[in-house]
Amino acid sequence: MKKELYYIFLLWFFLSCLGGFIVCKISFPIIIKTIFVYHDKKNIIEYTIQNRRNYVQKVKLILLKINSKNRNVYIYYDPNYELFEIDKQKVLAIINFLKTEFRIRRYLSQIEIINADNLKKFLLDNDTPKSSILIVPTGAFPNNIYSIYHNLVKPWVKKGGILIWTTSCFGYYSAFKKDSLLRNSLHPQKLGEIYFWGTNIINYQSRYEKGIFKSKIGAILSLEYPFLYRGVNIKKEKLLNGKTLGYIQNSTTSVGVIPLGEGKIIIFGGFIPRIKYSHVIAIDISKIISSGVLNGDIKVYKKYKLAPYESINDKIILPAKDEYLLYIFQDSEEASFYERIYIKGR
Amino acid sequence: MRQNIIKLPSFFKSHFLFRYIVLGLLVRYVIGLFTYWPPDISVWYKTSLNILNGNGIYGRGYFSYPPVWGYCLTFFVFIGSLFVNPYSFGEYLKQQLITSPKFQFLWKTPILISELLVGYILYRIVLDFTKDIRKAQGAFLMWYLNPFVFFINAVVGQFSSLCLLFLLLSLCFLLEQCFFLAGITLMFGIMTKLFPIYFLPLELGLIISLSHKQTKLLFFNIFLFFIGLLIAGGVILLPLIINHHFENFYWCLLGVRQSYTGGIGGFSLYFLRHIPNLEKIVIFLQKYPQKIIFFQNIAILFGLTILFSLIIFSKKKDFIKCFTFGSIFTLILVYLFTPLVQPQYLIWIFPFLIISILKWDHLLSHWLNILTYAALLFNLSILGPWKCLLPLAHSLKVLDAEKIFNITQDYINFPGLFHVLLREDFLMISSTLGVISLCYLLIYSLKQIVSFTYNK
Repeated sequence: MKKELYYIFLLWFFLSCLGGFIVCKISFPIIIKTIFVYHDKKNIIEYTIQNRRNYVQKVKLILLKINSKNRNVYIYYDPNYELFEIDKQKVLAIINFLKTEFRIRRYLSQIEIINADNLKKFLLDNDTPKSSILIVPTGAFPNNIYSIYHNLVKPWVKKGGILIWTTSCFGYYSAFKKDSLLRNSLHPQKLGEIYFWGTNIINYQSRYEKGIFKSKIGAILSLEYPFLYRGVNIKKEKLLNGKTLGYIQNSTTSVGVIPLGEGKIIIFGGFIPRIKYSHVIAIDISKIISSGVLNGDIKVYKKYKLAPYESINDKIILPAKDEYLLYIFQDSEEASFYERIYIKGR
Repeated sequence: MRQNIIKLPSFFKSHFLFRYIVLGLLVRYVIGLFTYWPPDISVWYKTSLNILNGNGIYGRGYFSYPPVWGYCLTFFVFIGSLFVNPYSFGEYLKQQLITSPKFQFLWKTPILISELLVGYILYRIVLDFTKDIRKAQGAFLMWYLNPFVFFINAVVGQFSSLCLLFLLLSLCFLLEQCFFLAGITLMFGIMTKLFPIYFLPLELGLIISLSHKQTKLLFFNIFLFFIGLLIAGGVILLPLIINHHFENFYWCLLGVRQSYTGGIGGFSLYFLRHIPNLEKIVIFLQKYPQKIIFFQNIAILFGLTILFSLIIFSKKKDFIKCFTFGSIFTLILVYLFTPLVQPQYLIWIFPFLIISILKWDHLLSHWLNILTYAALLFNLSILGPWKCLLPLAHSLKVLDAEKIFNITQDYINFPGLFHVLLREDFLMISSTLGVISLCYLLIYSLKQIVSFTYNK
């Protein structure tokens, strides 16, 4: 019996070790080589994209004219405070998946979770607006920064901050500590939107209402979050010079960007029926942030389909002497290839 | 040379198990290629694609187990990707992922091999313990033809068999007094699913008993065992350290679980949540997860301490009984106090139960049957059995996928007798039967361990 046990053990030991070795050795399926050339007073980027696999791969490339580089990401979560229209598991899922998605996309800025007390300090700090992105997945701002009596969020955004709102109706609730007697007394409700823009910008839809048509940027980035529950009204968004990123239906978008002063607020439809959609939101946020669409406008968009082991040479002429971000990525949900190249035209 | 080539197949052909193995594998592949378990499939599919794209096992946080199963999956999926485009492994239909038979083949093969090897080890253990070839053959067949074992491995494709294989190897190496290899295989088990960590007290108790109270020998054996554990742990974690994925591994094991867990019920004492009116008590308990975990740990620790003490202080050194009933006791103790125990975990008890049926008490076979059908009913009633057939409907077009969705929806909404929904009635009946069986077996195994502790 001993001998047979050895054989069985050796078989699995060998298989596991080989598997571990393969995990270490598997390389990224795509590589890119870029050369920046200044010729005839033109800024030219020449690049080669190569498929390193024996199957077809899709790659997208966007060139953005940008006005700022990577920002640090702060996620608000305080377990002592109330959550609205979301539970703890879904909030933790958003936070955890955001961390991995940023890591995979090689978005190397600082990612930090902050509680209600630190959030207040963060919003009052004059250095943070232009260097940070604040994500609020809890469905409400804590009452120490936002209620019917005060609003520290708006001045922060106006100074250049970027706020991402994922859950429930934007600005509707003010969260108290779970043991507070004042709970549910200071919600701004529908006035919340008016505090920020002077008008109502949210369209109220039923919970499971989904967008059908993809926006242009949403299609380029393959954004997947579909719910319109408390999505942004597209007409109002356009009036405020905003951008539509998500799915569209009934004049509502599942993800909208609305400028406010020097900053902007990104609002998701707000409904998260299952943990799966926490993951979808995390992926979409990481796509939006790491692609650079919040910091600039897309000037060039190209799409490639690479045959097995195929190499493609191409070039882009930069439109002007500005700062650009060239973002090249594999068009797949399980992708690993994300390349961000900053270029400054001469 | 020529003679040898002819000799090898004839040895296999003449073996009693040969035709059962061939037939069993054939049936498993025929059914397994066209069935899957919808709640689990996307984890294996997405993990596989992420591995092939170079994101590693833990890159995107879908995989929330220790890495050994991930390595085995990597090996088979990588080999498959050399011949097949991995993007053809699956597609979405009405937001439901349907994987192709190619993918089913790659991912289920290591599971089916492990299932077969567990059966073979069981055959050898019973042959060694009873010296009766018929009983040994019976042991193999009781395992390999068990409908729940078949369902979990061939249809669901749960990798519990792989972990069970390492656990059985570890216990067998221990009885063979190969303490170093026992440590290595136990760590492989722990690094497949964390569960085997609860076998440490039993294995340490066995090492102490096997060392015959010789202090030097005892320390040497324990040293060998722990060195085996440590070396195996190092080897398994090495690829993650080299690849800078250790941090991902850590948070996937804790962070993803923290995000997803919170459910209670199944084949544990929290089965009460499936009984009308009692569910409120359990949902109340669910609000205090830390208290539940504290209670779970204390209860398991207390039970394992009793087991450890009984083994090391036993007057009569019956290692086979220690091995069998100690394992049953450990597993059931852990199950009963864990907040959520899915039915697939029950297959861990089956090999030990089969040994005890064939060696000591054939009446235990009734409890094996109850556990088998209770677990099968529980699993099938979660979503109904029809959704498992989606790959068949999609790839061979012999069934209408749309109809499967409709039938499943009708089943989920079908009113029950005791609950609002029929499926909740099924969950209640199956979990109640299962937990009663587990409680009986826990007391029975404890009685057996106590009896040989005090009888000279």
